[in-house]
Amino acid sequence: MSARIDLLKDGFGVVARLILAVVFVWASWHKILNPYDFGLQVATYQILPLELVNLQALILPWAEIVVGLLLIVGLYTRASALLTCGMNVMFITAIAIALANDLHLQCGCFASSEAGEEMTVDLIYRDIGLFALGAALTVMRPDRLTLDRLLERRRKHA
Amino acid sequence: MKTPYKVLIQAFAITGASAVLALGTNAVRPDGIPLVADIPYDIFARCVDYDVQVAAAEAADLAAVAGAVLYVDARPAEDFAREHVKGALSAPYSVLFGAANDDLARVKAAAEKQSVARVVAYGVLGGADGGEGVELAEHLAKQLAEVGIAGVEHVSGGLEALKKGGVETVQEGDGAEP
Repeated sequence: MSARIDLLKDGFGVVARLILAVVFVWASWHKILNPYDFGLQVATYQILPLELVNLQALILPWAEIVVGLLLIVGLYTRASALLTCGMNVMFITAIAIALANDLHLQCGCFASSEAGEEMTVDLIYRDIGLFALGAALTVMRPDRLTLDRLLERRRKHA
Repeated sequence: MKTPYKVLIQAFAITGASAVLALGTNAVRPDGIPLVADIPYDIFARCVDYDVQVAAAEAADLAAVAGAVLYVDARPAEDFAREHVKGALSAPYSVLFGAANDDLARVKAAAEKQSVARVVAYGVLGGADGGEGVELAEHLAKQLAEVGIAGVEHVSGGLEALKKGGVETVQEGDGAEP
């Protein structure tokens, strides 16, 4: 029974890890390639002061891609999952503020403003779902296909 | 070290490494952006769903209550000079360019200073020859709402409708306010 539960947990861990990894790597790609465009998206939300817009536009996409790649290989899995939670809280807050202020803009989540998604409350539901996956990975022990577990086994045998 | 602290420290380290990567890459790439934006981004204007129309008769009733309403005339300045609602402000609305920012700011300041609950835009361009003319009021009202003025409404039919509703007007030579 216990082995079966462990197997289910591992299966969930792998799926959650890969979903988050793909979403975050995919989301970062356009932003890294087009920092000015993403800066414009950040500025459009009218939340951050101008002095912080570019820093946010530069660092956030790299944090997304680093976290996504770490989740794929399963290194620092819990810390990476914790960071996805933090980023999702940030996204949810920004979208909620934009919706509350009647800002009719593209979310800038995955693509340029021309090809971006329309800002709707559905984006908040999606990010809550991603937050839940990240939260689960943060509190769970990393699955056995992660580098974390491999390194743990090695340390035990050493 | 306890696991939660370890996870937190790892999270900070990952963030730090990401920042170093981000800033390093930005420094060497030809299309890098300044760390602090030196000029404001040309962001999209705030857009408000505006759809509030008030009947001319109701607007006239409001006019009878001192401080209840601020009228804003959307017609060209010369039409405004000829005749306008008593106490109204002029914010000429150009079909091509909209209302001037200075006029919008003036209306906003007046609405805040007078603490009016409702700001009513009116104005039809042309129509003196019996045609319908171009309704400017709704466009102006939308712009007023977009700059953050609360309680914006508009009246269809322009000055004539308001006069029929009983709103008091001031004509050229009456020694009216600017």
